[in-house]
Amino acid sequence: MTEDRPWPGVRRLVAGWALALLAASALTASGAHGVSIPNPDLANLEPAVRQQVTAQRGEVEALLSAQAPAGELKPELLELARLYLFYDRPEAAAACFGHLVELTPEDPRLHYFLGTLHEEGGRFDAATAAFAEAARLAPGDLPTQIRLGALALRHRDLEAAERHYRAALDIDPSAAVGHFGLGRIAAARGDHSASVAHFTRTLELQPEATSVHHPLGLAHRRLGDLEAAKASLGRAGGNAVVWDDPLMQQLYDLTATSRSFLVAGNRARRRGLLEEAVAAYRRAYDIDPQNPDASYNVGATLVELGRPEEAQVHFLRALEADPDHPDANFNLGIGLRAKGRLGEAVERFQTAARADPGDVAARLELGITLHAAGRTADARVELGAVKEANPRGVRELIVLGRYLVSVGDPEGSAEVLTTALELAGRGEDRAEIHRLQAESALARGDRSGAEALLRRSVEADPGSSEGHRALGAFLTRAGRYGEAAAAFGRASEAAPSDPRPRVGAAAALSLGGRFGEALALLETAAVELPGSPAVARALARALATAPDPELRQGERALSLARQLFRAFGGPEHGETVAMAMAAAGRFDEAVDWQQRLLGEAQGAGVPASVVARLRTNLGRYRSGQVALPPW
Amino acid sequence: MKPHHPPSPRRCPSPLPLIFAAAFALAAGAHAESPAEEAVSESPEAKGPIFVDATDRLGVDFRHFNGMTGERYFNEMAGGGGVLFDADRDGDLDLFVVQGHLLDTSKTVADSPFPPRHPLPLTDRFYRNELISAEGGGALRFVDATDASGLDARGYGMGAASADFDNDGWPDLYINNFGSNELWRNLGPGAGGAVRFENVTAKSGTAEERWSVSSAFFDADGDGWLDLYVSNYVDYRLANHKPCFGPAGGSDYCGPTSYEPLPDRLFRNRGDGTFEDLSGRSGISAQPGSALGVITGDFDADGRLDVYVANDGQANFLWRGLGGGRFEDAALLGGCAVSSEGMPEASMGVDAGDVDNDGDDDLFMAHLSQETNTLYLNDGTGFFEDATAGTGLDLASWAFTGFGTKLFDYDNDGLLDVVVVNGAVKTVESLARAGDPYPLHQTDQLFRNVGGGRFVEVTGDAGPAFGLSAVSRGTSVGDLDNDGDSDLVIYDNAGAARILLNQVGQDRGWIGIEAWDPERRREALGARVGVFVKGEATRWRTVRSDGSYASANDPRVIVGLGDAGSVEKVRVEWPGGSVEDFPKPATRRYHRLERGAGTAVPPLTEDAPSAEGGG
Repeated sequence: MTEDRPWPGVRRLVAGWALALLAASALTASGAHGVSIPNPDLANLEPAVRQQVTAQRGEVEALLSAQAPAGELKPELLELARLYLFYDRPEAAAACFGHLVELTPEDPRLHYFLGTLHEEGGRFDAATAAFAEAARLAPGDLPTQIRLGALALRHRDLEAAERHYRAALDIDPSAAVGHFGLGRIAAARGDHSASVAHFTRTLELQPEATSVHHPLGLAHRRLGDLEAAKASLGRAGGNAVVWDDPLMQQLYDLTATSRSFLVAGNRARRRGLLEEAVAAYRRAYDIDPQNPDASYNVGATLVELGRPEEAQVHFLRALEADPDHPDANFNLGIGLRAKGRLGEAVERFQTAARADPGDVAARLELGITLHAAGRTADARVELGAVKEANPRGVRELIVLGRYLVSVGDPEGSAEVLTTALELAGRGEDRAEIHRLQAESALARGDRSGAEALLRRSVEADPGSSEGHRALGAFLTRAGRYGEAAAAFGRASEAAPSDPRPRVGAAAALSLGGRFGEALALLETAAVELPGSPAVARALARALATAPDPELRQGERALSLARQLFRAFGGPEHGETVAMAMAAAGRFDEAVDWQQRLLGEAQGAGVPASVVARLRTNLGRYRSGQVALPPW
Repeated sequence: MKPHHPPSPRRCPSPLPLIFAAAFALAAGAHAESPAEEAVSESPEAKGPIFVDATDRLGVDFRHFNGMTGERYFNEMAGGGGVLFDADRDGDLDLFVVQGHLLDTSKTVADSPFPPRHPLPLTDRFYRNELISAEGGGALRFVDATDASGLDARGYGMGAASADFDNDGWPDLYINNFGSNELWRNLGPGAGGAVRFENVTAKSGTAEERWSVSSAFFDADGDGWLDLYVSNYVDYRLANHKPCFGPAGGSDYCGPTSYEPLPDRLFRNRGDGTFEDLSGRSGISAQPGSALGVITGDFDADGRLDVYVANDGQANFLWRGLGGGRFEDAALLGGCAVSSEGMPEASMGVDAGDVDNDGDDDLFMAHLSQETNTLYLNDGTGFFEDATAGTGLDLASWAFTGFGTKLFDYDNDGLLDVVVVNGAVKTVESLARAGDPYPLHQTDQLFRNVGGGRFVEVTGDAGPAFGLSAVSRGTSVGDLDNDGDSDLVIYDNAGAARILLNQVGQDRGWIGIEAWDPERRREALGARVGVFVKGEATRWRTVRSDGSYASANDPRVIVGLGDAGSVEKVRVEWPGGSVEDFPKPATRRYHRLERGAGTAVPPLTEDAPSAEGGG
């Protein structure tokens, strides 16, 4: 029931997003080297962090008390400054870095750290001065040039910004961020052609930086190319342009707690830096495997990165630490259901729903899975509760409507689907609702009503293959084969890699007496979709059953059919083998195959129409005739 | 659509106060003298503080209770707001403020660090302005008229909107709650003369259970009945509350990414007192978003109203009106969805106005700290440019988290200025260290538009009220004392509803416009008012009560004239497309301009706004 939504997406991340905020620091004078060691309040820190900072501060104080030489003091003070920076004690960090600059003014790292502190605090002039000093001391440092460029852009000092971004590209011509900066400068100058060139180059260097498609699209728009603009904007996403910032990235090595990495991961995720987020969440897990949120967030972000299979193990880890973790249970349930492990999926959704009975999404997925598992009564109860909880949820109503249609409740489904239609905004939702209504109409024997609804489905979402395909199937059943083939053709245009419309079109053409066209269509499909068993099977059957002996190719059909049977087995492909044998003139073998198939089919729940076809063709094989076309 | 029949016993709106000129007189060119003709100050700021906090002396004793008891429930730090509206139609602005409640029912209000000051049970509060009294002798002061009004609104209030949804002449209230929203119908004054409200939520079909903060009344389908846009935030409920943490692992408030975003809702007014849910058919529900602010206007000048939605941490929406109540999101192509770097920002409050006096509405929105607030300039066709960098609005906002915001001309120099009320959403460590029980407070900001695309922060001149550090959320703008300048109400979370009276605007030239639709018996929301001054750019302003955060505003338009002594004419572009001129209105006074009472302007003539609008 949920094949249209194999993965409904990542649910909420655990733990909050963070922002750096100013924190004042109390100062404790310690004398030697004229250094005053900041002693910010640590009460709100995690105990392990507090311990870490306090211990480092003790190291520094001890060195100061012992009047240790500057060479010994500096690394310990630098460590304390970095701790304050990482744990968001910016004023304390700034004080430490200030002392360090006095001790070793020629160390560009210190000015760089100070620059980041000023920048986070909104002191942009001071930040620019600090980074400029860092650049003077280390002119070949890429991050410093990038930060100076960004600051200049903030001040709308386009000349300075361009100077720094070009310097960045001189240092590393493959630095995507350099081209991105130049693109923004060009946009600010109204030079949209240059803008397009730079943004395009940015994407060549860093195609995963999907956020760049947005300014690129706007640049196209400003050049008057609306089609290009729409195409770019359609690809826009939330992944930022990233660049290596070793000094800041090394701060992660300092952390002592899982929670800090969680927050760091959330920060990265919020900036669209998903890989960085995963790395931070993994570190959180490494430090504290018992923190369920660490594992969960790894999994959730992997799903966002399009790696749901990889995510499963992390959801399981989260459940080892917290068996009731609602989001881990939910996402694991989705993964299990996709693998057909419905019973286990039901358990996961039940656990998620128990943790939060108001979680409509969990209850909806539970209802869907119960239905898929054949527990229709339980599904009805659960889906009813979902409707009760969210009577205006479009997806919930569609799922409930689909369920009611499938169990043959026309009145119930009509009410639910009518409400869903009133609420549905997305064309695909409206199209799906119309298809379900059509299915219900067909069940009532209202064929004209069904056709009208199917046509409305196509109108609601004309770019989707589903609507055209459903209409094609209806027209085929109605004996309007030419129209059906056309509908399948449109479905195929909408989804060229989907074999189903092609097979549907071939069937319609065949039924309409245009067998040659059907065969040609399948030959083309076999070339274009070489890995499709559905196309290969249809082609084999067409080759085996062509009414015109000129078109029939028994040996080729048999070769194809045997390949399929070896690969997949099963009665469907067995039946194709029998058809091909007959076409190849090997009627005795065809009869043997067919008799075995019939024996297995009877009592195995095979549809009566298939059994009837097997019997008919058995009779034909016995009398030396090839099979009838399967359509 | 059924015809509308107002109940017979109800009174018509009260006559306008004397400061309003009758439309026919204006149309005939009558020129009344201002009651407050004074010398114009060259430098308004030099005379003293721009705003004075008059809350206590005006009798507004409201104190917001957010229900916090230590658990850091997400919603407790997000409210609240209020409404400035002339509820009793006596010619002055009354005040409605939303209230919070205890969230953890296992505790008592005494467990809160900020227990409520009002007696339990807490309700939203309605304060009647007594500036204009039927008996004469009125003075600016507010009287708590909640009980007499029947406004027994006990939901956990987040914000509110106001407009006359049933076209009966009395402005109604829609309350956004953490919980089911409420629609309160204004019945007009009852037997004792006090304005009365009734809860028509269920009857009207406007209940919305999901967490919403802001909403807007506007005529989405052009049928003359005001529809309702409700911006929903995220699927946070007390049942799915989870712990969140700050950078160093300390407990802190969650953000929007911790919960799933919600689709917004559009209710279509059927004109018979009921609404139908048009969210799906309109296209609005196609995309979920974590919406906090909403503003309506015709941003692409196609004659149809659009809706701009400020989302927190997600791309913003520009729902472009297609007609017939259908919308499509044009924000990405319009250049106003994300930052100039292509990244979504944490938008809170939003407002629209013509900051560059080029004849179209631009957009301004308040953002999280370490993001700049953003100004999008409209090119007149619904295409926007992020013009924030270098305006003076950007870097100054870096350290603040802005919520309520309005574009308004505080000094009446003809250029729209900006107020942003601030308050953090994450613990401010320096405050926490000092033992502050609610370490989110920040000061508010005022920016003066000095022209040429530049703003100057004048917070330091704005008065002590702007020096107060508070967790400000909503803000409303309106002329509380009818002196011709815009005053402010700032709604502080776990704090007061502060009344800030403008001390400078009345010293410059101004004209006040109430664009009135006599057929609908209400303000013509969505109309555009152009004030033509010889030799200067025409000031175009949109008639609206929406915008800001969780709040609603004075629907009258005040247009600052600076040193200009006269106005050539006022042009009104009414919803639906008709255009009328009202020649030579008197300055320094309010005018009710009635639809149909002006001189019709034929479309597409040399006199059309496109020819003159840019001045």
